[in-house]
Amino acid sequence: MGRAHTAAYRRFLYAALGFAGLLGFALRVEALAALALGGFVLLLVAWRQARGGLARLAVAREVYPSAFEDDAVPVSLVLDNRSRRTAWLVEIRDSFGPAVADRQALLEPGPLRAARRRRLVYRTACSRPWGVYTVGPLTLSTSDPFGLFHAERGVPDVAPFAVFPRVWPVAGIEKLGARPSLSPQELTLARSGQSLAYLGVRDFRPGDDLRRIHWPATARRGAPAVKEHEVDLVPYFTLLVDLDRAHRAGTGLKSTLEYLVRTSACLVWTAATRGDLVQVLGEGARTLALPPGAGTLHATQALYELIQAQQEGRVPLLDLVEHHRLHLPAGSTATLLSGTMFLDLLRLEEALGALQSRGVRPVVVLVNKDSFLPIDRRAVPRDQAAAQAGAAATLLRSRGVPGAILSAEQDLEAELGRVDLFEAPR
Amino acid sequence: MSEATRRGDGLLPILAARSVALYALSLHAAAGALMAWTAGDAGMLALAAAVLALVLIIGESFGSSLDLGLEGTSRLRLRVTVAAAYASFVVLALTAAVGTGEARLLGQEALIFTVLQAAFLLLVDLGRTHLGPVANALVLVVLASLRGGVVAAVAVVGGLALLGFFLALDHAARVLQAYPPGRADLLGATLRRAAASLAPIVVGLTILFVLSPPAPLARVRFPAAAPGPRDEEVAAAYRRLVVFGLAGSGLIFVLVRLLRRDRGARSPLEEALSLEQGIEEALAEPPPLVRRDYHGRRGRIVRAYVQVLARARDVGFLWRPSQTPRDIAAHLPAPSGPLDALTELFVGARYGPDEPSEEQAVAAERAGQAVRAGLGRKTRV
Repeated sequence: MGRAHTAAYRRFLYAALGFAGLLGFALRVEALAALALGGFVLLLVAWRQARGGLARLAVAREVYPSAFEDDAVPVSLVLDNRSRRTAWLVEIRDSFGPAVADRQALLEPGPLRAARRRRLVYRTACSRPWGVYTVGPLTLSTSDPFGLFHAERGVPDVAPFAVFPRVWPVAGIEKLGARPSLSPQELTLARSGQSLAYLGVRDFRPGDDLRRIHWPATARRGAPAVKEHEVDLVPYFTLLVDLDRAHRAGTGLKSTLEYLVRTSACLVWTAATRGDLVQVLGEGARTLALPPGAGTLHATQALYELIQAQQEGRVPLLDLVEHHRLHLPAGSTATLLSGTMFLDLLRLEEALGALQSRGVRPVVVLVNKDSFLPIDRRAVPRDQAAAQAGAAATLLRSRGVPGAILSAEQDLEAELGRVDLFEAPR
Repeated sequence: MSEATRRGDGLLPILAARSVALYALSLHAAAGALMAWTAGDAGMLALAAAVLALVLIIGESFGSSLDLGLEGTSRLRLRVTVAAAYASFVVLALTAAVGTGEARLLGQEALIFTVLQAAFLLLVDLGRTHLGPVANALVLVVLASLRGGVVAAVAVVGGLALLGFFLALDHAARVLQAYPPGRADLLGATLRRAAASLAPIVVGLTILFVLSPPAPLARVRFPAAAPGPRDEEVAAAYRRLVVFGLAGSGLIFVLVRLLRRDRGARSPLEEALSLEQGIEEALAEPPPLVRRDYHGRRGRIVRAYVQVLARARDVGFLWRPSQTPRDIAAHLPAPSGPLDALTELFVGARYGPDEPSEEQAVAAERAGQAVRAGLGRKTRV
């Protein structure tokens, strides 16, 4: 209900009652004058009630500040009536940036009694693509009982809201890198630690857990002995993202930025949900450096950093790898996500070799930027792109590096969900 | 919003009650004008009650199908044309009636506007508002009030009261129509709120008319054979009118709920969402504002400073709560020597750990007097 409806009757009453009053006074007809007088008193009463209707009404929003694309988001509004009158028909307008509609209109019909609070929840959907949006401001409005006057007040409650790209499980990643406990290969180091893998028996030392005493050995030696286990390696996943501005191509949902961010989000989320320590590194307009961490909260932070990334960097991906490779722990997985297939293959081979020599398992994902609509430079001819793809695939195969090539014509969700994604680049 | 989904919420009773209020307003205004300027016998009142009820039911139930062929601009053009023509007709009719002072002409106009009221009720759902029938009802009230006496008094008081109830119900209905159905049992509350606001006006007008009964338009020439209705006849006519009105209202309340086809439109940029309402919680009382009491010499200095601030406020100097005493002193248009001394003494007394001396208290009071004198008398602008 806007001002238009309230104004129609009000303007009519001003005109009609004014006319009746003039007629009454001019013709000395008391009944007409009384009609005008009564009508204007009614307008005055309505005006006062509308003015007081919003006094001491307050509204505040409570919403979790992030969600995935297409998620339904519950937004909680807390409406306080601090006045001494009951509030009726209070309209609240909110502006939820990620929704398609500009504004969300809500009605609290009442009664909301004096000195009372009511929590109201509306649900809307994140219909817009990933990014950082704003939520707010809020607007409170109400009218007098006759709907003649409309009172409205803005509440400058504006907050950012992050919409994360929808993440799909990357099936191929399950086969890569370290695994959680109980899987023997590559997970443990033959050094005394806390894993379930058995290392040997040694003498008891003060502070050892009594539950680890190896009773048969203790009986044989005549002195307490304890079992030793190997070190459990923590699964560790590093994502190196190419944010070089030279690799921008395409627009909207079919752009290299979209593919890079969406693929990064899926990789990070999949690795985090299986329990890996995850770190993300990139050099865009600003440095993207998410330190290693585990858990959903950390993955959420990673997504938040990713959606703010811009393809405005000037550091090539292989320089980024060169810069960080010495800090990658043995047994970890490092995924190189490039915005182009046209990497220097010699340098790529060197980088892969260096990583493998440190016990790091590299994975290479190449986004074929020439399959997207060119923006500021011509696309490479198809045959040349095919030759480069073939050369890159051969290199990866020769070094035993899992890899994939993503193109604009592919359905990203289906492609990332392929179990054999990293087995044969195509 | 389809009718089926609306059935469960509290909108339909309000829509029906709005129709009843509109009917009551129309019937009351028409009956007042007819009783004032025509014979206004039982048959005519019954006929008016029946016709108005029938056209309103038809208008509310099937009126929305009338504008299906009209675009927004065409509808607006039609509305403006009809409004201009109607306003011209009203001015012409009232001018002619008042100018000639012919009771017969006024009677004919009462009949014409009663027929027009029926027409407006038939087209009640055509516009965005119900301005047509409301405007015509006011014209009928104006015609009735020209007659003076009990008829005019009842027409004015009843017309205003019914107009208020109609506006309140119309407002509630429009607000509820704009949102998805929900928990909203507002009929009783709407009527109570309207009644509370209207009661002083109705009581005031009634007292006014009892103390000073309204006189008729002086220049009206009544036929010698028709001296006008007596008060008993008017009372009997109103009793009949109440019976007819109640019957018509009951019929309208039932039929409008059954037959009404609802329609509501909202800007595509705005989505009206349903709410999940939590329980009402009591708000915590805000902590009481505790003012520290200052006693002794400390209190004398603080009081001297507060008196200066009160005088400053009286002469139009306003300060913000965020300003410190020294900020205030820098902007206060007062003698700087005593003001600075008082400010320093106040800061020491208000925030310092030590009890001020007697000399400091006396100095503060003297400085306060000097500053107040320097600020002058009350000249708030």
